[in-house]
Amino acid sequence: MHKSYIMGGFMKPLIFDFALHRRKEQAPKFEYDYELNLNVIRRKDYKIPFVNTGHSSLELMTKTKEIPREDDDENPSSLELLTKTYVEKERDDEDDSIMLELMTKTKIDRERDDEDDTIYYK
Amino acid sequence: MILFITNKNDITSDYLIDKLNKEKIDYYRLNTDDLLSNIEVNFNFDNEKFNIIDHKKKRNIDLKEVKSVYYRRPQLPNIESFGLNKSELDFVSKETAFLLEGLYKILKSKFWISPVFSIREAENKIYQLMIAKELGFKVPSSLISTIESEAKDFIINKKYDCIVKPIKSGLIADTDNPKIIFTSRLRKNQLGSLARIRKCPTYFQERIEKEADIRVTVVGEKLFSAKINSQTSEETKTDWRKGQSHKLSYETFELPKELQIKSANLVNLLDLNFGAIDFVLDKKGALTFLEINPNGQWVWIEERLGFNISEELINLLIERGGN
Repeated sequence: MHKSYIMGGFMKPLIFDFALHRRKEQAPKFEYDYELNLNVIRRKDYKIPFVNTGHSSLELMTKTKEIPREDDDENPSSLELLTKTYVEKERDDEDDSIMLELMTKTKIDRERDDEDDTIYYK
Repeated sequence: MILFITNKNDITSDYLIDKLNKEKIDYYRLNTDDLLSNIEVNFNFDNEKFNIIDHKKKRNIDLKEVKSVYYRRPQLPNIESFGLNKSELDFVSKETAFLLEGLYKILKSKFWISPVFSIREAENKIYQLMIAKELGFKVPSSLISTIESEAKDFIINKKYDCIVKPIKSGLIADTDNPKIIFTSRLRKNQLGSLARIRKCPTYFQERIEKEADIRVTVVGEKLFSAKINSQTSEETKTDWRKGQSHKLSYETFELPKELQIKSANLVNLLDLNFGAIDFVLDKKGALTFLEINPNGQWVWIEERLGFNISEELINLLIERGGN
């Protein structure tokens, strides 16, 4: 076994050997439009629903990952792409936002016997 | 009325909403990330009025008017600007989360794509594999274990030709340095490292020599089957989702009748109205079940192959909900 994995009793789980960094992704600048209830790309005189722009990142964003949005102060009417700094969710077949997850047992103080504090929303 | 439960960044909901806008069909998009700011709630048990008040839209939604629900990706609001300490922030987040849980219960009798509590149950890959096996799907030889000797025996039995994959999510959500674990081929030199599975349950499967991957999207009783030509690139051979540089090609696929029935049965048994099922097509033409994504993505495949998934979803939400 590799030395770096056993140091002072520390043993790194095997599964982490397969972890990969992801390259930076590009996403177009779109913003949520409260009138249309969807994301739009704004130009000077009009706005287009992002889903109608035929942008190549639509596939990326509706397939395996969601690209996090970043605020910036560039001209919002431009169709320029932004470089994103990290990928928020890779497998968006998964729904991390809804899972009631088990809290790692550490030193959770139980307040009441009838409360289940071991679950919480991520 | 159709209720969308999601967040503002959900492009998949955008895709359906764009169509509803064009067809002037009544809906309300509840972006749960706008709770505690643009959106307020008022659940009055005395007069049984359960309302969502949307200040941006100037709408007051009576939950009793909701006929069907499209459940996508709710997210909790960002409350960091509230000036609270960490445990107080945690408290508010939990309270908000459980408010949403209550909202789901209030709407429980409505028509959902898909019922949230069924989605949660169906997401468990261990449960999926058990059910799939029960229904007669061909499933890969699999082992989830923390025991080194068991894993070693399994791998030797599979002639060292195995894959490793996460049980739940492949994401290691470090803010500064996020990583992802895809389905990956186990290397022979890793056999000496198997003791490390003691520290995290690890999911092993026999590797299947693929001809292609198959994605079957089930909407109600309709099935849309796609062949993903994943073997054309080294990057996508083991996990087609891994491809960043290579654009995969797709084609429609004729799923054998027997598997059409089983796929529909699986979605039904899991009490879902939607499911995206992944199979491996092997070199001999046999199909092996890998997993079902109860709230999986579909827009990209509709765009690529012209499937009418969005139309089917809208029809279901209207007809089954009685809108």
